[in-house]
Amino acid sequence: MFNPEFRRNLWLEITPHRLIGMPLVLGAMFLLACLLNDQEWGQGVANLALTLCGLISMLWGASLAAESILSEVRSHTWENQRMSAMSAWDMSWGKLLGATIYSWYGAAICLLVYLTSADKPFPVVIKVMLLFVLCGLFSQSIALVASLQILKKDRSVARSQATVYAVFGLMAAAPLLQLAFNQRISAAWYGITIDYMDFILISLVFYVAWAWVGIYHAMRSELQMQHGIWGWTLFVVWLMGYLMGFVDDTLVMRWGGVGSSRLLVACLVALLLTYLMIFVESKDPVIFLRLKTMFEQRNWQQISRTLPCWFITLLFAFMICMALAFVFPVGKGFESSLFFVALYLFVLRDVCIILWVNFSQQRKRADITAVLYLIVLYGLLPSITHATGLDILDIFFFPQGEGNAFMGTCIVAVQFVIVLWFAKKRWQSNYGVTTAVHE
Amino acid sequence: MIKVENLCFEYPGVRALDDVSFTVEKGSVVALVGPNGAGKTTLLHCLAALDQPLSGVIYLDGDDITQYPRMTHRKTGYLPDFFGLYEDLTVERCLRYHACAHGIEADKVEHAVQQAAERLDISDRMQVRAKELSRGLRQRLAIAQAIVHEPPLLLLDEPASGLDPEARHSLATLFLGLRDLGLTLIVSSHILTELEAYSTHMLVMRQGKIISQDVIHGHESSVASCQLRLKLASDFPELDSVLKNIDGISAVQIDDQADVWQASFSFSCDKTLQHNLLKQLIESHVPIASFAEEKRDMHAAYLDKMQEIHHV
Repeated sequence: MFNPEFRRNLWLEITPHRLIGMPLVLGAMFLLACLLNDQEWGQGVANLALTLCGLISMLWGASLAAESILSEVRSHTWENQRMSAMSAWDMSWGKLLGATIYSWYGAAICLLVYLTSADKPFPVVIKVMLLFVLCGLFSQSIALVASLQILKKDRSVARSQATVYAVFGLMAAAPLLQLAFNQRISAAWYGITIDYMDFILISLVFYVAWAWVGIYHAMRSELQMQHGIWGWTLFVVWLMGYLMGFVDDTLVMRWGGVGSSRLLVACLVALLLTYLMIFVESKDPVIFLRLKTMFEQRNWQQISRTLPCWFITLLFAFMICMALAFVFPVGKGFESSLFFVALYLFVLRDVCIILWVNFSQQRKRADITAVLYLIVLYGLLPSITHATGLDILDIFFFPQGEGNAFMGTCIVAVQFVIVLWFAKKRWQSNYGVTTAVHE
Repeated sequence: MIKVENLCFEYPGVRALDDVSFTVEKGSVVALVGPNGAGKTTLLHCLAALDQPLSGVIYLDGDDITQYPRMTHRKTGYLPDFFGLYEDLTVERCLRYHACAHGIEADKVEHAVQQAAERLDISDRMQVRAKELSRGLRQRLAIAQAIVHEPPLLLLDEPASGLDPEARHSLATLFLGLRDLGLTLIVSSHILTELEAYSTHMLVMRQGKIISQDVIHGHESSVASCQLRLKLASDFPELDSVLKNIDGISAVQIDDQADVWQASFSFSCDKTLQHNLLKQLIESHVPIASFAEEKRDMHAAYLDKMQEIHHV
């Protein structure tokens, strides 16, 4: 067999007892469904088959995918795997398809039952089956990439339950399943009208492909292989391009212009990804020490390999915010171009808050603490000021598009400088001294 | 084979390896010793290219391992302190998996598996599941997995911990066998008496630094230094100046307190150079009664090093 990891998983997952057990259990359930539906092998059984297929592939399969990494770390076999000669790609697909093989066995039985019982035209049945296969793959891929990414940040998470990551996978895939079953006939994307189900299926193929790229990159990191910024950069650009295609006439009317509306969508993507990745990625102070050393050595190639993804997305956000500041039409709720400058400064302030908390010597719950601070800043304090009728104080908490734009921008700039100073000071006092000694 | 230059490794706020530099010759067995928290495991992780150092370079056969980690993985076998096994797989399947995972060609896997099992004396348990093995046999299986691809470098972190005396003895015999096969071994351990049986060099670490790299008696090479002891037949007050004027002699210690004059000093382990030194001493009219290498066991040498550090 060409992939040792896949074969090892087959040895462990596929046993004669399990091969017999799955069809027996599922068969009993379908028989019961058939009996309860007037002994009819029809849509009732088909619905159960789809539900079971979804649960088996998207929830259980995702849990198995995450467990394929977590169990290796827990049982101290992960170092051996990292020391093997397997390529990152072989390791990725060996785990993704090998660890989940038994869930696919169950899902395949369910899909076969669906094929024979569904009361729908054949092309629709095939598309629904494809939809479930892709959703299962997507959910499992997200669970695997999430476990790899979070493991990179903190090895102790290996003790956590794989179900947590399965929920991540389910949360990513289930909305697509829901979208696929709504009653829309067609989707409009960049003005092109496409059959709705086809569009969901094509989108899913891309989602799965990007999730695999994510797994591959995370696996390369685990194997100590270096990679540049291109993978992440391309993903950000693709996601922006993909979502910009949904800008329709309603948004164009509201935001005045196709170009600016699409830029606004791109801005939203950059900001959301920045926040997502800064929480997902490790903010180990040693990375910053390493970057500092590389910067002093002007080692740009190594810097590009070490830069965190959130930083790259932050650069995207900067470029887009500045572009929006120039091109966004006045009178569409953002009367001043300073709104986008202020927006970006708020993001920078938040990044510095998150880093400041992470530069503490007690870093165990740093990200949760940072989330709490952000909730206080964006939720609690503005609510208090609103409740007391001091709406004017909003300029401290949100970027201002009207009236107080200049003042608001100045205030957030001051906030940013103060938090940056605190973050820098904390890093120097907790981690900067040892660097100085050995430089 | 291995050359480490100015290696620094840092955990947040803690410098685990501090400007570590040393070399390891091909075919040597290096005992990596030091107190808990000295940085031994971190060093082994860096040597195995499992962790990226903050700065410094590690060369394996001339290649920088931070640049070519996968090449290092292919050339290295590593047994971690807390190793794991695939409990539900048989010994044969565990070895087969590792052989395939290390890229051994399909037609050579069977031979590699059998050879590793024979070397570790577990070939009679090929169909036993890993979870059914005793502690000592698990250790053997883990080592067999690490050497199944015949790596030129083997890193072992506390391989004898938890083993009974008999299992430790057979482990020492195994390492001697691996050394004879030409493998380079770096073994971290607290059990110095075991290490002495098979180690050629001792690398002492403390607080992230290498505090000494010594040759263990009986394993001297031409480039390493040995501790020599000189006993004189009569008083010779000029001994100190004579010794200090000879090239290659260092760390001279003269003991004239007792009835017998003695001197202890470092010099090359090369036998020809030692012969020339003896000739030179006789020509200098030093009344030599005996001239020999100082045999100290590893435990004593280690404790001496630690005491030296404490005095400093």
